[in-house]
Amino acid sequence: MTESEYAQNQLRAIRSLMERATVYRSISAPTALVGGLLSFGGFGMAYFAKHNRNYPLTPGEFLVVWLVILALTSLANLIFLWRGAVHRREPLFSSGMKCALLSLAPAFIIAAVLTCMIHRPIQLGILWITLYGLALLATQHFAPRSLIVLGVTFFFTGCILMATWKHFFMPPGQLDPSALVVSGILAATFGGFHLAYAAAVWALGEDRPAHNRDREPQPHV
Amino acid sequence: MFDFDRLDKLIHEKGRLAIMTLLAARSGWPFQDLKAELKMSDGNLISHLRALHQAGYVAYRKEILTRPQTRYELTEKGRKAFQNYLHVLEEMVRSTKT
Repeated sequence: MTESEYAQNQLRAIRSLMERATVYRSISAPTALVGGLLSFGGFGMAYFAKHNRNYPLTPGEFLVVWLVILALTSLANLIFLWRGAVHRREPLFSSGMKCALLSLAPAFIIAAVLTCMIHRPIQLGILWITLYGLALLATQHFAPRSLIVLGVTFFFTGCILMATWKHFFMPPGQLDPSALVVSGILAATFGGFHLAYAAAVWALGEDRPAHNRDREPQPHV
Repeated sequence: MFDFDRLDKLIHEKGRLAIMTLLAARSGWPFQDLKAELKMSDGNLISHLRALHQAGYVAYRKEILTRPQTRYELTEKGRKAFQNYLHVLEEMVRSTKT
């Protein structure tokens, strides 16, 4: 091995270790739990509207319900991230958070613009699923493995739904699936996937810092 | 021929280089987090931290959150030594390319 190759290997090892040390989880497990449960709540509202109110959610009502769920989940995420930052004695807007926001922003901005332009619930739902997956994948260089898996799952589910929704979810004689069906799809993805993610993070102990898992030996230095 | 003596021998050791790298990436590492990240034994990690502390590269503070723990961070001297180590490696790469 030449000197240059040796130095390059050393620098590569240092870079890789530094990247591992700056892993940032932009969506905490408690947030995923809250978001998952709220998503099922959204489906519950659509179900209530159809069966108790006797007419389904209008596209406008559908949009309001899911935007409220997004707002509540985002607020919960902010609170949990803030608590985590306080516990680690880091600022909330750490370099990791700034990096995550910059990575998430493009897909979220596209989603916001398309939400203003598109009024069909089925198209909106599938776009949200796909773009959310893309947003999570944009953080893959510093995200933990479970979050990357979540992003991949959302992205491919969105792609599959784009290609197949007319075959599986189109009621005969109608132009679009009802808001109830779309809410069911969103509950299965935003609800089910997030609950599975939260369970995986807790089961694997990914959310616990090592200093809460083991005792420290004495004396140190 | 490159002069390897320019590389800081204290940092150049694999375990200590890994510790310095983690501390340079993020400040205030609890002992158990360092241990988990580097997969080192307690004794090994303690002896490396002791060497770095004696050289003035690493500082520590003890605190009690849910249980007593020790947090480690680079001192200004340690950060400069680590940056210098990186510059020497970069020079090694550059010198063979030119």
